[in-house]
Amino acid sequence: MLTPEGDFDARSRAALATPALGRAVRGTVDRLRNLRAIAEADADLTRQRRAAATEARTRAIDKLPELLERFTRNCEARGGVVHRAPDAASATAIATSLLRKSGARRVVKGKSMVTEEIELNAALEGAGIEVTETDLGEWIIQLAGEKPSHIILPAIHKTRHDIRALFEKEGGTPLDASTTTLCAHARRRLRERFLAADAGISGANFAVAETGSIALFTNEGNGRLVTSLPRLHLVFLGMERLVENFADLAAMAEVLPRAATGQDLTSYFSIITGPRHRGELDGPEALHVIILDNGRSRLLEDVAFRPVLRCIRCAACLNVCPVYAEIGGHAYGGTYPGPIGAVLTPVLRPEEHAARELADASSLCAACSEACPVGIPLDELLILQRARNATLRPKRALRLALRIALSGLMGDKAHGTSRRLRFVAKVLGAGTPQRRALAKVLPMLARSEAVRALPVIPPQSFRELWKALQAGENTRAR
Amino acid sequence: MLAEPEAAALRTRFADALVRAGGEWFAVPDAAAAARVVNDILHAACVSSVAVDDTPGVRTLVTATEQRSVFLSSTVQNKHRFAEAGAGVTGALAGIAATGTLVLAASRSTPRSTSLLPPLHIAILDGKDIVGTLAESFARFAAHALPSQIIHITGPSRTGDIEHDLTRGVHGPQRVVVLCLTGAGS
Ligand code: SF4
Repeated sequence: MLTPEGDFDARSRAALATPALGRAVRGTVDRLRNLRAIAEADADLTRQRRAAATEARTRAIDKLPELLERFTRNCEARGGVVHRAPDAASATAIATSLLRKSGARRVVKGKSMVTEEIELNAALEGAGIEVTETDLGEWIIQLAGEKPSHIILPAIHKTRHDIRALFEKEGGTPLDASTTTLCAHARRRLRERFLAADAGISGANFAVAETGSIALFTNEGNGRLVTSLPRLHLVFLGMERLVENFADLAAMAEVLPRAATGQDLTSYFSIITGPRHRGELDGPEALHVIILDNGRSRLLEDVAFRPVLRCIRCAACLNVCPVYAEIGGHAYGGTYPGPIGAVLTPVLRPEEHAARELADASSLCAACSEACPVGIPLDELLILQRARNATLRPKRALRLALRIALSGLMGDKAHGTSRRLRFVAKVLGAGTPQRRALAKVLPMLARSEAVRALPVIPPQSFRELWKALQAGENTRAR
Repeated sequence: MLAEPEAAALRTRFADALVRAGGEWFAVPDAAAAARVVNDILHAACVSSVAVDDTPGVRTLVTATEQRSVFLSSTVQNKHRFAEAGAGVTGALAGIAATGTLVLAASRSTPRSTSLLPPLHIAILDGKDIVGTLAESFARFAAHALPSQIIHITGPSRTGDIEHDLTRGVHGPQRVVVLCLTGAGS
């Protein structure tokens, strides 16, 4: 759910006015970015790995309906049950009814963005089911009553002192703020929940069509506990997260941990195929996979935005984004923050105006596209989203400006237009009499003036300068 | 069958990657040496209860002492028993040299909990089962007869959720020790 239009601006301002937030987020994304840089230091190898992963994901999306059908068949052949949920409401209804039917009262959950997307916890709690998030970061934000602000580090915005306060409140005992104490506390408290839980709910990094398996990459081990201890296991799978076979899964394992945390492989990587076999003494007795559409089919039809379905939610694009580093995840207002959120949210939720303005949360520096292990052209899609927004907005002037800006990006043919634009800017540049006059009639301009001035226009354009330089070179060469 | 220099190279790569991931490595020539090392580690860690997988080469490795009880994981009726154990000892189907990863499969004789609930996990890995890559390990499984869970373990449990300060053992084991049988003693 998104807050109303205009709020992105307000939320960003609020975030910028909280310097501690900026420091916490920036410090961590910087570290993650460096770890990824080290893990991807071998440029040739990285290129090969990314090409293989991109190919596997592109192929999977191209034949998604077929793979979904194969996954369903193979998963059910191994004793799993597959459900299709067209939207959030039906997904939560399926889960609630499955839990009720099995008499499950206490649920432990692994980290899953899809369950955030459908706001599962609220729905389950409304049905009288106790839900405990068990990923340390997710538990922290559950205790705080917040939403994740990063795809893989949901509590990135929390300091150890915030966390200590939350844990002291939950446990009723005083704690010190050392990482060791806080982790030991979480281990002890959550262990009790694991051992008492009737059902486990997890997400899925990938589903393998050929074998009907679910693949989970985790570091803490809570993912293993959630999928091993309770008698019932519900998996929430985003409809697009399929790979064809184990070879493709291996290709994904080569890129996902490196892009996400700079690890060669996460501490745990589990491949789950059906419920426990006869005679096994742990593992769930029943396994249900709930496949969520919730706008993804529409994305499949949208040729330009279709590559977004390749996304493996590694968060590399967040960690390099200068806008994300400043405003943090909550400012984006939806489930998915950062560049991927800015691209994904408006297409998943076309009816929500607020989602569209996320496209403005970009400097178009393209660092996101460069970081993406599956080659999603995020910056181009952001421009495209802006263009779509422009055609939706009735203001003709804005549309014109956008067209000029876009054509400016297209290269030489538009050169004339951009020259004209330079002329306009020169006349209207900060400090000119025309500009001052205009600001009087257009309060919007005056307001923006208070925050930033139009850049000073150099006497010569780059192209003119370049020509002159080359001419100089040539004369010298002669 | 790999020639010994290649096998040794794979072992070295595995050991390096494992240690990088925070795991511990011991190369032992044979089962008798493995038993000595395992019992020493358990003694040093003051472990009073040990879960042991019911597989050849593992089930007889750990000896009970006055301070230490040993139980076969396949006989456990209540999962709390695992949670109270100070260590779990398992075998491994394979090791992946590129990442220092142990490959385990859930089964009747090898429950998931042995390598998961106790704070110390000791794995016995036959050096002959070390392969180069994940893809090579995958090739050892038949698509139509997969275990209910294939578990890849790369070092101890870790989290960076508190100010990205890396910590071990938040939910899974704090220590992962691999004993590799090199076959040098046979
Ligand atoms: S868009 Fe690319 S970089 Fe961003 S989360 Fe998705 S896969 Fe990762």
